[in-house]
Amino acid sequence: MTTVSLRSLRKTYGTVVAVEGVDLEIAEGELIVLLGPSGCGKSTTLRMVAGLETTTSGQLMIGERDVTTLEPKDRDIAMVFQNYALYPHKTIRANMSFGLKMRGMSAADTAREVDRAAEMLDIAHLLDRKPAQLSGGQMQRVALGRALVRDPAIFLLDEPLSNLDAKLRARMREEIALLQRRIGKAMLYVTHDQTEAMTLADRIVIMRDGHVQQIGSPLEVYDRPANAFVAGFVGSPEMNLVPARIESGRIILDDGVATPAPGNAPTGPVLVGIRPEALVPSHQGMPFVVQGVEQLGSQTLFIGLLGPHRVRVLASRINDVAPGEAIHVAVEPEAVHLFDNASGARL
Amino acid sequence: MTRWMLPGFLTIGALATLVLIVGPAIYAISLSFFDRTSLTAEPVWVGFDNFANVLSSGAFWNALWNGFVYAGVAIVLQVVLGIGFALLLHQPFRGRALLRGVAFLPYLLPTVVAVLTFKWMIDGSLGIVTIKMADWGLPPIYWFETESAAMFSVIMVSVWLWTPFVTTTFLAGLQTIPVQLYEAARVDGAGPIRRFFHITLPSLRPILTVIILLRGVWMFNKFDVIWLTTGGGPLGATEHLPVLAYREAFRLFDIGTGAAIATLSFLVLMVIVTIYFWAFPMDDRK
Repeated sequence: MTTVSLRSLRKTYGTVVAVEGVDLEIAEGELIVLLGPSGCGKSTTLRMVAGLETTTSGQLMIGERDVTTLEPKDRDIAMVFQNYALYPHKTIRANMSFGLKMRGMSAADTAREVDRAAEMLDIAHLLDRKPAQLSGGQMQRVALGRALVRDPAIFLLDEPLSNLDAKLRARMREEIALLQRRIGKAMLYVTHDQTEAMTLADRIVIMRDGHVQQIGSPLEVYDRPANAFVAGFVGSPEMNLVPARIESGRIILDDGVATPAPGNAPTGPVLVGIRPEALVPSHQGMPFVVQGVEQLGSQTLFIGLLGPHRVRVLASRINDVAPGEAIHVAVEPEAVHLFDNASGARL
Repeated sequence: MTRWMLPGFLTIGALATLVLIVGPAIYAISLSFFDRTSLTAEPVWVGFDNFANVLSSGAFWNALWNGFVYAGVAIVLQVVLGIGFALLLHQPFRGRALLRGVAFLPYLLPTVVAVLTFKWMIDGSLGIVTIKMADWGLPPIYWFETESAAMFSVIMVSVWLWTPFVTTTFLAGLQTIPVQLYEAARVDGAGPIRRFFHITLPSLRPILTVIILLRGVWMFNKFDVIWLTTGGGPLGATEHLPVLAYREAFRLFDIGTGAAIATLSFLVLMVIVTIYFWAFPMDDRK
């Protein structure tokens, strides 16, 4: 069942278009991640859903209600902000109670709801403290807790983990995924971190310059990126994108640097996308001059030249190749993505 | 920083404080124990007689009460109007930067200029306010000349002069409140009034605490506005402790009594400030 519908949602600031016609149906219990670089319109889209930004045109439905012009409080949403936005002078309990109090919930019911959420997030021991006395991770939990007590139709999270260090971010990511499955509510989650998107999302919405580039499950956008932008944005290390031409079933990257093309490849100039892990060091294949070696533990990342193009190769651990050495790399034709040279669209 | 810099600067600071603040204060307090008709006359030791005389005079208690009324009402008005104007000037609108500058102007005027302007405007026969009121068929009000109106008038002049300072300070404070707090409160369901009381006011509390303290001390000791407008009159209706002390010391040439009034004024202020610090500790942000 659809919980939230974004229908041709558009936002302009004067002549600047921030979001151009976003269409999205979010099902109950679904975790949608809005992914894109800074300024792509993902946060603006989220803020339009929240009601913190007016909508220039389009329609927003939550459940059966048209909420396009309603105040945030009347939309049945809860939001987690990037900087947590905890009220600094209130205790954690008061922070979490505030929304319920504003809605006229009785003191006893409020206390019960706050205790329940605090229990769920393991912050019951922090309830009497103030935000300044908490660590970043604890503040993040409280911010989640404040949203959780409200039991809304949809949770909106605006880059909630971007202020945490890498280790804590990974842990909180897992916790948010578990929490979301446990409560079974829809979530709209904004991030510029593709790892977060890949690991959390049921579906990812990739945006660029206010336009939706692709909507799909994490593996769909990874395996079949709709265009060169998505291909380059999703995946870490990012996909190698190099100009080439296709002639008689072969992809020609440069004189003497060629590899078999996939069966459906059109002849002519193309943009070739090969994921670093799809390039495999081998005895035959394309000549690759190693410029840099990054040991990641279980894997080794080589940076080097494939013809004139700088590319990355991610291989299982290799200890005995040093910068300056020339090796060969091969790629399966099915692992090659082809994009239109001009538009970047998938071929 | 060399190892001599810290003790060096401390010594300079301590010496300057001793010579410029502690010394004169002790001298002023010591004057209150002597009978002296001028600063050059031979002092005669009278112990606590000056204090006893002052405390038994109606003029002292009247001046103390007037001081509380003048400072109290002026602070309340300055703070309420200051926050109000700051909230207005915090809203986005065309010409905001210009208006912010204009709003600060009264604070830049020398008190004597502001007071003279007010006196012209409300002059009993030629003032523009008096003439306008006559045009509208209203009876004249003798703003500085009647007991009932004089206190109101000196408070208004003070509010006009120093509200801009409060406004500017609060405006600076408002700009430090993260917008996300207001957004979170909107999502939580708080309307504008609740947002003001739950976010704006608590966030401004540290500034509010300092402003009330500073303005309170300044208003309690403020001499020029009252002296230039009413001179403490009519019939002591606006006479507060600084004016009374000045009148005793330099008009009636009773330096000892003037010093005793100033000392008592200092003690009253010290007690109030101590209670204030106790009631509103400055480091309660946590």
